[in-house]
Order: sequence, then structure tokens, then C-alpha cells
Amino acid sequence: MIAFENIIDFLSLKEANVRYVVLGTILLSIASSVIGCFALLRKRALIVDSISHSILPGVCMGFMISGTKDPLFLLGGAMLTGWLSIYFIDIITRYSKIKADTAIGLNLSVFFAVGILLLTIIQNSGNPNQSGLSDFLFGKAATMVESDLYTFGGMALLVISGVVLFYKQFVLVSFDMNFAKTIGLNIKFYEFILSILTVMAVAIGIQTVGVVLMAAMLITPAATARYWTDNLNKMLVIAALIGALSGIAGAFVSYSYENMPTGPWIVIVFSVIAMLSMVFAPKKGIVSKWLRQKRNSHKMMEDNILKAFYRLGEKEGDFYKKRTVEDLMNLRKFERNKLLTGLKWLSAENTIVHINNTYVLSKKGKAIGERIVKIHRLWELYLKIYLRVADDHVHDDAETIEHIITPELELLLEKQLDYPTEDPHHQKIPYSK
Amino acid sequence: MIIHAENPIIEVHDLTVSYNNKPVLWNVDFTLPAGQMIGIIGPNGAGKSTLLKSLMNLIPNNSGYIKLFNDDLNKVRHKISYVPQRESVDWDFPASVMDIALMGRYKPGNIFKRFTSEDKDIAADCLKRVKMLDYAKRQISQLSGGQQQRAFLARALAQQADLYLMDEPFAGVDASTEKSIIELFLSMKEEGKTILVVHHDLQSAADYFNWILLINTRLVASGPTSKIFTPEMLRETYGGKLTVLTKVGEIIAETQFPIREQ
Repeated sequence: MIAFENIIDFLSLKEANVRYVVLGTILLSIASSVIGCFALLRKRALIVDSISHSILPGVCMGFMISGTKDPLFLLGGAMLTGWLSIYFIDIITRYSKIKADTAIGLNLSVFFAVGILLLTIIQNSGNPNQSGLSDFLFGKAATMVESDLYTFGGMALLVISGVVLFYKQFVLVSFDMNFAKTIGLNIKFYEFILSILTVMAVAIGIQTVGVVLMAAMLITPAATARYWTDNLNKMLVIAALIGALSGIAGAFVSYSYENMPTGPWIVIVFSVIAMLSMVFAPKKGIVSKWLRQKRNSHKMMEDNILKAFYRLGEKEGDFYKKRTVEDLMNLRKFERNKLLTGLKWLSAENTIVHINNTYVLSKKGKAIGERIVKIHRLWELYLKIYLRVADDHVHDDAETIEHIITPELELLLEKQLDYPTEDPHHQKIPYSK
Repeated sequence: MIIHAENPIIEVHDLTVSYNNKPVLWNVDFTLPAGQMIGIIGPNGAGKSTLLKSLMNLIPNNSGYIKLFNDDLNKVRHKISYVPQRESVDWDFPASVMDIALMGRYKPGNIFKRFTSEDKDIAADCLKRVKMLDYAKRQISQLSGGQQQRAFLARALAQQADLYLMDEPFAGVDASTEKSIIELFLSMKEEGKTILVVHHDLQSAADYFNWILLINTRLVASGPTSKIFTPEMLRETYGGKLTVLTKVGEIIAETQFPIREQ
């Protein structure tokens, strides 16, 4: 297995070159994910996309001026045009009737068009240094050498330290700009720093991820991290981890397959993580929501069955009489299969006892059933008195609410209604002694 | 009827403010006393929030000047707390109620330092005062409207200011929250604070405030509630915009004419 040996080789970081590539990619991924969190919170995701497309003409101009792929020239050019695109978007939205989304769309395509144009001119110029310049479109991590690590990694560290240093200011500017202004914070300065760091984070991705996909490198880890936490510190750390993990995966692919671009792989890896998060994240994830619904319907079924037992007992004056499935179905329109499952659950919880083909309420089961009936009737009365709902309209609402009233609310209801004895349909409200 | 205050805490001279070159506040000129509960009252679009923002220099003005504590805003910022409208921020921001209260402890001088335990104690005290200490760890997106407002008030209290500018603190809060907020304001007034509140409910205005500012693009009246809050003045404030003034404003906006000759 070639792939397996590759992984071992790669992970052991034996070769110096692999070390540069891995370290460089990790630093870059952390920097872009962290600054990306602020772009996301400030709702600037699209602007980031515009920046990433706008750095291409800058990279080309850097090459044209220096005649080499000296990273300092390329990065200088990238930052210049990247920053210009932010500036233009700002100017256009401020002084014309064009809205931000349109301005971003315009900017992105114009800058990128110029970039592709320049790239073509360079490729036709016959300059022998130009080979590999087109890798900047989609990235090629494996081309990173020691000197690149110092340049790109150094800039990544600069971005990370910028976020650490200005953390409080960035939080304030992102959450409540007006408040930040009123306490005398120099908003323009910090917005400028945020833009510069964002442009830097995008620019340092040109070699590894490429200009086209660099925006995803900032936004996707941040958006994914938001699924897992409501705490900004944790969000920054999780985003950085996701970024770093994807970066390593991308670097590995680039190392193993000579002609494979890195950017798309990195993007695919963290997009998979993003999708998994959407499905599995606690509270906000799809699975978690599904489980919650499942739990709710489980509880409703159990409550309804115990309530049926209680009402049968109430009618016949004997709560502990043996009941058949048919008895229950005559009282309430249960679906047979669901009823049988529900009865199984309840037997397991010892709220009912299964004897041959009949079921008997246990003491515990009776208490639960009684409580549900009580809440149901209290709620009907509450609706009648406080919401002026007609007697014949209170039942349906109470059918749902009976399952969700907490013991605290139950006490409050009893107290507010002054321990009533009858519901609007003149049925007795049971109180356990 | 414009009654001036002695030793005013806020002086506004000849203030004109516009959005997209359309004046929303026109030649407004008044003074406000210290240590009072002051209400800014007027119909929708009258420029109430704009006036507060102008006081904090959040939007540029076309003419006039403002003095706070008889000084320039930049020298007295630490004595002023501004509470923006609740809807002006995104409550889905990853922060807890405590984080919001702690923001009141930010000062340009200490912003590179970590919060001290004193900062945290003050923030907790302020949360207690607005009855939000039990929710200190709660994510702000889970708060109700009234709770969000109280989180903002805790942040303002944590600033330990002397002058509080509140933009619609009662908008979208239930009656009991409104009552507890008013009680808080009264206790702040007892401590000698000045509270300026943008408010649009005429029913409660007379009870809440002892000084009232009536505006509708122009200043209609300013003075003690007993003298200002008359049916006649209210009719003038709510009787619609002045036709000529509105038309002139539209012409200025349309022709992009400068609001003042340079």
C-alpha cells in the first residue's frame, strides 16, 4: 500500500521539506481561521471572498515588477490589491446608490478578470521564472521551502498575535460599534487593523490554498466552530483546530500526489467537517434536534397511555383493574403498534405490570397518570379564566400543554387558580394527598 | 416654550443634523439640568434617537455645537454612558450576559489589560441590580427582549457614569420589566445621576420624567414636565410636520444643496 507508507512517512516528519510544508500550513490555517471568526461575526464573509479574488492581480504585478517569484514581492502586491478591493467596496457603498452585495460582486469579478489577464500576459512572455505561477490559483502546498516558511509562517504569526493583542477591541467593534465609539475607542483604527489582518491572512494562503478558495479557509472553520459553542474563546480555538486539521490533510495530499492542487482538498476536508457538525453538533445539530423530537414523542405516548389507564380507573372506580389493549383503544384512538411499543416502555419502567395479555397500573404509574389528568384539567380552567377561551375549545390545547408543565409551574397554576376542584367540563381535578 | 436650565449638564446650540442631506433635526437649541429624569418625547421619525446619537458624536452634524458637563465630549466621555437601541446589535453573538456587563468596564486606557477581580465584582453587582445575576452565564441569544435590555443596562451601570443616555429602553419589554427599569432609574436619580431617555409613550411620560423635551424635527418645547406637558404643546408636537419646513427639507435633499454656506 503506497498510500499507507506515505502517511507514515508524512506523519513522522522525517524529511525537512515535509516539516516546512506541515508547519507552514498549520500556521496559515490557524491564522486564517481565527481572523475568519471576526469576519464571520462582523458579517463580512462575502468581502473576504472579494479580497481573495482581488489578490490575484497583485500577485501578478509583484511578479512582473520583480521578475521572480520572490514571496515578498508577491505578498506585497497581493496585500495592495486585496486592501484596494476593501477600499473600493467601502467607497462605492458610501458614495453611490449601489448596495454592498452588488459592490462586492462587481469588485470581485473586475479584480479577478484583471488578474487572469495579467497571468496570461506573463505566461506568454516567455519568462522562464513564471512556471508554477498558475499554482497560485488553487494552491500547491508541497512547493513550500524553508525560506517560504519564514515569510508565510512569520506573517501568519503576525496575524495570530494581532488577534491576541487586540482581542478586546475586536470583540467590542464586532458586537456593538456604537458603544465602542462612545467609550472613545478609535474605531477607524481598529477596523483598519482588522482589514489589514484579514488581507494578510488571505494573502499568505496563495501558495498553499490558492486565491480562489482562500475565502473558504477563513469562513468555513468559523461557521463550523459556531455550531459547537456559544463562547467566543472556544469558537476561536475550535476554528483554529478545524483549520489546522484540514491544512495538514491538504498538505498530505499535495505531498503524495504531484499534480494535485492543495486548496480544493483542504476545502473538501473542512466542508466534510462542517457537514458533520451540522448533523452531529450538540443542541444545534440535526441529530440532536431529531433526538429531542423523538424524546418528546416518547414522553407524549407514555403520558397518554398512563392518562388512559387513570381515566378508565376513574370511570369504573377501580384504578388497579386489569386492562386489555382493546380497553385502552376504546377510550382513546391509539395506533395499535405505537400503543404496544408504549406499553413495553412503561412495563420496563414499572409504571404498569404486564400479566398475560392484560396490563395493570402500578402505584407509580397511577401517580403519573393522575398528575397528567390534573394538569390537563387545571390548564383547561386556566385557559377559560385567564384567556377567556370557550369551554369547548380548551381541550386540544391542554392535550399538548399537559406534557410540558414543570412541577414549579404546576404549583403556580394550583395557587393562581386557588386549588379548584372542577375543570370547565365539571370533571373532578384530582389532588394526591 | 423653551425653558433653560441653570448650570446645565447638557447644552445644545443651534444643532442641525441630516441623513442623506435631508435634515432630521433642525436648529435645535436647549439646555438640560443635572440630576433629573429627562424624557425626549415625539412621534416616529421626529429625530429622537438622532439627537442622542448627535450628543455622543456618533453621527456628524451640519451646524451647531454641543457641550456636556460644560466641556468637550472627548474630555468627559468617562462620565457618560450611552445605551443604544436593543435591535442595533446582533444578539446571536457568541457572548454571555456576564461578557456584556463586563464590556462596561472597558476603557481606552485599560483595554490591553485583562479584567481585574474588581471589574468582575462591579459587573456582578450591576447584574444583581438589574436582577440578571442568575442569568450571568446564559448565552445572550437565549434572552427575552426585556432580559436583553437589562443586560444592556447592566453594562451601562458598570460604566459608573454620571450621565446616562438611553435610546428607547422600554421598547418591546413587558410591563413588569418596564416597572423594574423605572425603579432602577429612580434609584440612579437618587444617587445624583442624570438620565436622558428616548420615550414614545405619552401615557407614562408625565409620571416618569420631571423634565421633558418635545421634538418633531424641530424643538417644540423643553422644560419641567408640569409646565411643558400640556395638551396644547402635545398637539403642536404630534400635529404633524410643518409643511413649509418639510418641503424645504425635500428640496435640500433633492438638490443636494449644502445645509450651511461654508
